[in-house]
Amino acid sequence: MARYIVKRLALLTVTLLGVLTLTFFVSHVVPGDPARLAAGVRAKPEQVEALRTRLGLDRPLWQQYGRYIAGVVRGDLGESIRTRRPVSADLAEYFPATVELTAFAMILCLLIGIPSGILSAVKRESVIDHVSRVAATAAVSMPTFWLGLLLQLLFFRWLQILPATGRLGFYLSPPAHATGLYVVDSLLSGNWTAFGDSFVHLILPGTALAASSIAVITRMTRSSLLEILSLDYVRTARSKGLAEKVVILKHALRNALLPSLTVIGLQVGVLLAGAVLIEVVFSWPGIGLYAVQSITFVDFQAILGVTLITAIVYSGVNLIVDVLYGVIDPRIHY
Amino acid sequence: MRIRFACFLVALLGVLAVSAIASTPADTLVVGVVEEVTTMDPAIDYTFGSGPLFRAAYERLVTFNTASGKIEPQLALSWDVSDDGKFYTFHLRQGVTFHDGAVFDAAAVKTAYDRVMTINEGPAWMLTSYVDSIDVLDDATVRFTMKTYPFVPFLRVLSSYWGMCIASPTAITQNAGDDMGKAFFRNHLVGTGPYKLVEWVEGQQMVFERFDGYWGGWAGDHVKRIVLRKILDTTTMALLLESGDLDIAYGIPLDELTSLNGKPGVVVGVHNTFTTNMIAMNTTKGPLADVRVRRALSYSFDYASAMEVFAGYTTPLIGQIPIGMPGHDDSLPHYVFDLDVAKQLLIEAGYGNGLTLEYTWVTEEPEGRRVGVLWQDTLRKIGVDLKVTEVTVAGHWDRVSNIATMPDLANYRWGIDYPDPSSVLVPLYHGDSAPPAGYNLSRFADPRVNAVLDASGKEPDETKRLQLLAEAQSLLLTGASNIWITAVPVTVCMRSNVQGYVFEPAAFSSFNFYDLYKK
Amino acid sequence: MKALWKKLGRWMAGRPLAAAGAAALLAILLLALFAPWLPLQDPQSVSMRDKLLPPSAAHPMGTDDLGRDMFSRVVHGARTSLLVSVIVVACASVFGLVVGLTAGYFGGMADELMMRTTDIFLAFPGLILAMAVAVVLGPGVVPTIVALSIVWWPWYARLARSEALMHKQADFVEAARALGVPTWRILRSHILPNSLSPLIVQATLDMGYAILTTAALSFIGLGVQEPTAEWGAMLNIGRKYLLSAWWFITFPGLAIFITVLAINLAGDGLRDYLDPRTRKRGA
Repeated sequence: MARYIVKRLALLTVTLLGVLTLTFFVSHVVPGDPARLAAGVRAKPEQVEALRTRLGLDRPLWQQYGRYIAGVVRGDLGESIRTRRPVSADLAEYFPATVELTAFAMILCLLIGIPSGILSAVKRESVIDHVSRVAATAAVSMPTFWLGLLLQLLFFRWLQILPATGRLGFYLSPPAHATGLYVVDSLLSGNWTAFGDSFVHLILPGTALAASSIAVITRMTRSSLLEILSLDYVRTARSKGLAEKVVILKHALRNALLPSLTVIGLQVGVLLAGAVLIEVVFSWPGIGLYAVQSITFVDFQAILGVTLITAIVYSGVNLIVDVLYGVIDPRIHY
Repeated sequence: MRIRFACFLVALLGVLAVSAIASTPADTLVVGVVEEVTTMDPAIDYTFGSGPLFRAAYERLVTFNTASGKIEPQLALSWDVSDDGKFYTFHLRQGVTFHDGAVFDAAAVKTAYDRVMTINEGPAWMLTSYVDSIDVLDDATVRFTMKTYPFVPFLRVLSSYWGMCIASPTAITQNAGDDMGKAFFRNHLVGTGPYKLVEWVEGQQMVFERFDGYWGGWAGDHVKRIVLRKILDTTTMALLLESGDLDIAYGIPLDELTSLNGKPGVVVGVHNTFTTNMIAMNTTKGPLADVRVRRALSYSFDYASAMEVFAGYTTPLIGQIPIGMPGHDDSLPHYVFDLDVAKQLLIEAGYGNGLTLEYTWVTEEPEGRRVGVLWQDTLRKIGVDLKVTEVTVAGHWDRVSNIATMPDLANYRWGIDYPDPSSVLVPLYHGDSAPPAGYNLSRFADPRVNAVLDASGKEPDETKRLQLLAEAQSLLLTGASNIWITAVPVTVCMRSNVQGYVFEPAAFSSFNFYDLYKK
Repeated sequence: MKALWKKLGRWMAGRPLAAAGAAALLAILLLALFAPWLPLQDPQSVSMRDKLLPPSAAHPMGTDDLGRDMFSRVVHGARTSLLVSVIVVACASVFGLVVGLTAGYFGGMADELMMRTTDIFLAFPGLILAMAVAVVLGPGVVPTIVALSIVWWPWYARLARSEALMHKQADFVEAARALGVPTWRILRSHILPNSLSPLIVQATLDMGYAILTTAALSFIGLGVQEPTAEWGAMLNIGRKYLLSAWWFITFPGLAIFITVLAINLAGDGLRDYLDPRTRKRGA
């Protein structure tokens, strides 16, 4: 097991290096002169050149690449030419917002997806099952960002009951910084107003982001539960006269959730990817929004930083899922 | 289970009720802004986002009064200019202190401007190009020695809020570090202005509080606190103004004003700025090297419909200098929309069978898309195929600064650096201003224009200067280097209880906070 | 052939949703194909005076911010969206097929190289890479296709590789090799045909996802350009008028939704029909 994890981690390092290399060279062919942009388009040529030297942009590309990788190893992600701060400081500020949004969406997925999957399986081929099937297909067919816009139109514009953009309402200052997740920080500091408000701000973007993953998890739970329910030991339990509720919740569900674990893990990646669009639609100050702004500004260092952090999370989740799978299911050996 | 769910619902409703409260405190002014602030350093920042904060916390030697077109005292009470224009001597206001307690004097002016010139980024060229040295004559007197003189618009240069804000000498020396204080001034404002910065949550909000030691005093009506909220989404901003969560909403797009018009308690304001929108024609190559084709295109542009892109709030630009700026001249000739004349000119130039041209517009300047698509539809009728391409700011600069990649037509905006016609005409139309030196994207190079512009910079007599400027503008119109569309309007909407607002086209993104109060 | 259609028809009759999806898809395809000859208004004709008009008899879906007829643009948008996604899926799957089959069949270094390369591509959200590539290539239909194909090929490469691994042990391949048949002929006439069908099924199922991704890229403003009508690009502009013109975001989004839904319903049916065991991939 330990050897397996070490091997995977080594492989992950190689992958991350590859990701950085790919992004480095792709982003350096982007048209646009970063020194000129950093200096301001009206700066005089000599000002631009001075800045170019300071940022090291006058060196050959391979040297810049070497310096960058060496910096990353030291934990230095460089400086953003747009925000004029270390990229690590930017990420520390934007990333928690994405984590908060994605985690909220994940909780929605589990709270809605698993129960409705169970319901569909138990009441197989009933109206509920059919409705859930159609709803699931509809949810995966809908562009995430369009769903976000529709929710804004409905709950913000017409019903006027939910906020559409940002993480906090007016007058509220962010709660004392502990985790960067406003919902958690406000709870920790006992700031109930901020808690309520940041929670309310999560509802629309979280729902829009979660919709298609809820559908996937519902269908997955349903099919794996059905598979288990047809197995011998469940039939035995039933024949022993155990209540149906006990059979399903105690015996079948636990085993049925195992295969769902992979799917749920994959959904973390899906949610992270979807967060880019949702953050744009909801002006949610997370790394997706940061990425979009950085790309149009040819802010290399920022683009690389975002890529690195998403790749780490993405691959990390996959690794954790694989390992957990082995822990939970004794039949799997590495 | 059910009870817990009910509890959750009740809690949720409670939360919703809390978030529905709206209306700002009477002594606080809440302003919604759209522009990003990435650094507050007056030596570096060169964006429109800094307007409101610089105006709240910093002051300059002199200011520009749009209504009278005159330079007025701010930190300088008066000034003398030597006859040859080599020396500018300023007599400074006494009894002024900075937010950190430092005293404002001649040495403070020198320290602040020397820092800007040494850092030499962003706006510094406005000092380095003209100023040779700054000397402290005594505590209350500072003298600027000019590099090139006479340079008539210099006082107007000093009225710009880019690079000309005077920061505290104590803050400058104490926080110099090894980066000349860039890290410190990135998120600190230490000026002599009426409001001091107390909080900055990046990307979200800035809170200012009245500076008790302000030299102007606090008699009369003023607000105590100013909250600048950055709001990415303008639809949200409009709703917040409507509900009373905002006192002022800056930058709501023109098309969205329909949802605010006639709403009780809301005053919709649309103002013409000194920023102009135009299309540069590449005069160096292809069909547009022929002035007849450029004139044909000038006639093919539907000026009236294009004003609809700006929701009908503005008028076509006459000449190159926007309304309200010295040098603007309504009597200049201008092109009108006439497809027959356009077609005739194209036939004369040998393009009767049509031609293909590329037009670029910049993502951050969205009017360019609509202007382009509108023009594309019109040009189809005279056999011109217009390819409309979107470019980012980065891509735009990359393409226009290289003559090989310069598109045939490039839509762009030009915002002035300082309120003087030379800040429009010289960087945009002087033959020496081709990128990257300046912003003459069409590479229009007419020796007569150059001569007139050079002369106008040295002409101390205002009437004679205006004549020279009018001559330059006529020459440009004949040369048809650009399509001149309009001065870009900006929206400043506010609650009707906000009083004392005066719009300044030269500093349109800022507010005269000190004069504002709520009824 | 006729028999197959008959069989398919009978099978479909028992699956009303799949049948409805297929019918809707057919209708959308026909609309897209014949859009230029339908009695629609010119989708590119600008009329500033008619901008942002709500739906009416003259403009069933209202007008956009340039006074263009939304209905006509939504219909013409189907051409762009369908064309782009078909080409993306085709390019990505052909490239992935070639790379994957080669790697899987030869194994060793080639295989390792391909697996590590695809690792890199699959290690972060495709949309971010697509955005970066789209910025490099500039806006337009062709750059959009290239950007999305670059992001997508690794999925097909992996699928093709596993097929190749499976078939290279098959008896008939072993036999051919023993007989001295040249490698490229084994690949072409044995491995390829057998690996093709799961790949085609997957590609068909991915069509809906391709439409969604194309729209997403245009929605960020990096995809298809004016004056070409494209659903994602329309939503990008329409978003600015969320409060004042609900129709601007509603109809293009509805078009994407209905099209993708139709593809998914029909695709699910097709998958069950061809291979009941295939699983949909996670992303």
